[in-house]
Amino acid sequence: MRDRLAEVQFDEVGAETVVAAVTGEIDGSNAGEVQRAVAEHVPTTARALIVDLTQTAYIDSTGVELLFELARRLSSRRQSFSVVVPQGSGVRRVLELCDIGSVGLLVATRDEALAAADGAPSA
Amino acid sequence: MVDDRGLRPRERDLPPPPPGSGGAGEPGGDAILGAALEGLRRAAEEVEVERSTAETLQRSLLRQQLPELPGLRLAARYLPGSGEARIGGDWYDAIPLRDGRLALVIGDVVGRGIEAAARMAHLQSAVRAYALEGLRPSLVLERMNGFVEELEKRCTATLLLAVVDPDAETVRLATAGHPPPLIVNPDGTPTFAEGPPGNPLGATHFPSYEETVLALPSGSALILYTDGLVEGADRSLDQGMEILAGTGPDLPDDPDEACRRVLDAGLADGHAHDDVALLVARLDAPPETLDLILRAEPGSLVAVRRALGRWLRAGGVGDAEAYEVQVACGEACSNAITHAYPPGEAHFAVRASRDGDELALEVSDFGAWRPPRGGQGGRGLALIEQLTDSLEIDRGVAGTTVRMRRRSNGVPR
Repeated sequence: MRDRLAEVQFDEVGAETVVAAVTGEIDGSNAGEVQRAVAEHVPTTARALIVDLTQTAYIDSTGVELLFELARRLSSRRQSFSVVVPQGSGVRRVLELCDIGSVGLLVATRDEALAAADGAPSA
Repeated sequence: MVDDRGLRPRERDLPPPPPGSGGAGEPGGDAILGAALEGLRRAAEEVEVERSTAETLQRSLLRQQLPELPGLRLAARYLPGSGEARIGGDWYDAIPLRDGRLALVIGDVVGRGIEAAARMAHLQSAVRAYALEGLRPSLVLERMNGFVEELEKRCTATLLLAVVDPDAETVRLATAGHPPPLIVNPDGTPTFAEGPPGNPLGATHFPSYEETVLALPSGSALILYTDGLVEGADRSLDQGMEILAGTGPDLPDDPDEACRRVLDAGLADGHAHDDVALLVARLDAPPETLDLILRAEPGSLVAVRRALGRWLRAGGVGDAEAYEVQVACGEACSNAITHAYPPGEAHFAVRASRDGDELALEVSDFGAWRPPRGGQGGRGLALIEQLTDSLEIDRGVAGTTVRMRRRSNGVPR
């Protein structure tokens, strides 16, 4: 999925982990689209979703809301959810202020997220 | 009401013209001349039809509305050549990129008439596609060369790509045999942006293109043009470029007027012999107080973000702090957009100013504000509170104003 502000690329790691990497910016103009695109790419058979925001330059509360919404969906299906954001970035600060850690795992690198997903209990 | 039916029977009564005669009473020699003239008239008409078709096509392909970016004003012109069917093939374009930069394009397809205009359309679309992929200018040109080689009818074209970064105040250029753009510095001194030359598109199989990054300080203008502006029967390319550079010292600030001035100077007799495409970009210095009025729609959020980011950085505010201020302001704007309006066109205003060591931000709408009940609005307000030192919401009859203040470490430049 791509629009004027953002592009989402999907990667499947193993058979059960989906990584959605967002490049660009998420705001009220595209958060709904990004959410739909990510949700559609997570099959019910997946065990984990990793949203990689390493290349995300901007996120606002609608973007945060999108993450909470995804987390809600996933937890109802017992799928694990983690968000990758490098330490010290503006995006990280916003996510921390909104306490994204309360609904998913917030890590600094994709490897950390993959390791955690690997260790997650099977549904 | 006049009825002319009465005249017709009498016309019919006239005897038929004798064979070989062009008309009643015309001798044979005149008839031949008449037919020849008629032939010429038809040929001229055909040229004129081709001309006007090419011109219509050409104009319909060029951007009518140039994009607007904070701090960057654009204007452009296309002038058809006055020579026989000397129309088609020159174009300009401006493509906003995802990261807030703007790709400016100027090109010239060799050839004339409808065919050149049609080829130009192919090339224009291809440049847009490659530029939107985020490819660097040299790579766009490389791909364009491949694209031209794959066209059913190969052609040759010159093309120049200039990616303007209003934040960094730079322009990144790559050229495929196109004349160099003119940079007019804030003090009026003109400099041609001569970079490493590159082959025209379609000239060789494996061209290589290099890029140059040049400073484009606030207050300067960038002028992109095609050779019709600087080349003519009456002067060499060098002379033409000298005339163009001569417009630098008193180039009007407004890009539209600047276009007029450049055309007046470049085209001595007021009209172009060859096609001319011209694009002028003016980079404005960030104002002391930022004042924006935007349409109340989500698409405006990015415009506020860009303008505010540029204003903050010009004020010496670091990236991390600028980000937080952008988010706080963006949340207030989101509220103005989502909560304040009935359907239909509406606007909101943003003002940013500096008050000693504090930044003051104001977001005003002109509608009835509904206090958010949890959800996104609630999260947005909570974010503003965390990212600013004070938040004040003034719900008036005419609209709502959100005032935010934050101590800043930034030092104005």
